[in-house]
Amino acid sequence: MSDRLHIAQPDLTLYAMGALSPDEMKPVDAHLLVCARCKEELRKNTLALAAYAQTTPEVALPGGAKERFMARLSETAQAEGKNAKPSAVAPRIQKASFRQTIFASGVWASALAGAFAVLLAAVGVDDLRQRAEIGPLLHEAQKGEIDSVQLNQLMELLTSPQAQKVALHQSPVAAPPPEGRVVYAARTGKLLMTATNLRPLPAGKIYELWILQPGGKKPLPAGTFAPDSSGYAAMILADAPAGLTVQGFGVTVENAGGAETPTLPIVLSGF
Amino acid sequence: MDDAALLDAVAEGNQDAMAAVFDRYSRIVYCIALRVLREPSLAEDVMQEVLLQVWRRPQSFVAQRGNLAAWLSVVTRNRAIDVLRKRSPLDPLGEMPLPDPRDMALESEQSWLIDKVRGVLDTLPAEQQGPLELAYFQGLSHTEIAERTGSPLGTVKTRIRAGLMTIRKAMNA
Repeated sequence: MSDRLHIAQPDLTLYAMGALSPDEMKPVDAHLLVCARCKEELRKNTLALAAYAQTTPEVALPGGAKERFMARLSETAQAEGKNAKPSAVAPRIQKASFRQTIFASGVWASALAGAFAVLLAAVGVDDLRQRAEIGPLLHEAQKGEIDSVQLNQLMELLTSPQAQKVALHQSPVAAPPPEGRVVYAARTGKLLMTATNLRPLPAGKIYELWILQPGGKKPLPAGTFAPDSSGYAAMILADAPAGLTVQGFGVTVENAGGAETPTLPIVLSGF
Repeated sequence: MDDAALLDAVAEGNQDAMAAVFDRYSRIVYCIALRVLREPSLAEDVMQEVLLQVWRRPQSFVAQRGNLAAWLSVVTRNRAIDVLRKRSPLDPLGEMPLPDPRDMALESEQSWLIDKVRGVLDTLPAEQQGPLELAYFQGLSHTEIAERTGSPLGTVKTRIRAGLMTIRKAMNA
């Protein structure tokens, strides 16, 4: 389905149409979290499909369609308490605006990303599927694009008495050192990596994760990623090399597109 | 009144503004749903559902400042395919990111763009047009299309991709 670095173009087209099976979609979902190039390609596909849909020849609406819609709208408005009465409307809009303001703020988005990084690190080792589900929420939260359902899920998580709470403080003047975590399931070939405090990279450069093997074997590339403006990055791979005996992991800076052999220096490593 | 102002009014619970959204977009939404479902009553149900989503969550459109026509078109097609396949929605309405407004900013530009796409579709080879239509408006998987047309799976994928690339080129020309 992919060339290890990017999703194959025909598959990305089918993904945009929703024509892949759920199993086929999972690795694409994970890859899109970290790959700006494939995400941009998907955006262009979606736009083209929107234009294709709009080439549909026009026909007249069925008689009375507008009246039926307005009647249903009126019922919906009453059921949801969304009508012209200011007392009913104002709190609803105010709440939505408040939430959107919070998540549109880069500061809060970064804070949320940090909180999620800790939460991701705290959840069970085997539950990579759950992490894969959390990943898109994190990504959307970082972009400030999040809908009410997901927002409610986030709010529930963050206010749960069972959830780990982390106090945030003003960042020190000196830049904190980069840190990362990797969770790798050799049996299934699933891998999760999170990193914080990563330095921004010059144009044309990208971070790359390497699987370090014992016995002097060649390090294996395990995906490229770029941090957001706060230095946070997450990568979830459903198709990492499986069945390996792993000595450790390393992160290097490579040219965009990734490399087949790591370029020194290693900016992060763990054994 | 442009879409953003209209949606601001919808967010305030203004049903007249929602009626204006209906006047502006109901026809394209209905036509796309009908093309997929071929049943007017089902198409009208999908149209109502999609437009009511605009009523329920107008702030998400305002916040993203996307192109409403494009969003409605894709969401309507996806929801109609769900109905066709009698499956639960793969994605809740509203999950799809809005296309960037820089791509299709003005209504007049958009209309011109759609005409250009119509033009290239007429010239598209049948072996590309068929799989694209089957995949997008009939919701068939690439495997189902391969079985139906007797073409290898890889060929089906390539032809769908080639058809879409032709549309993209027309949009950028």
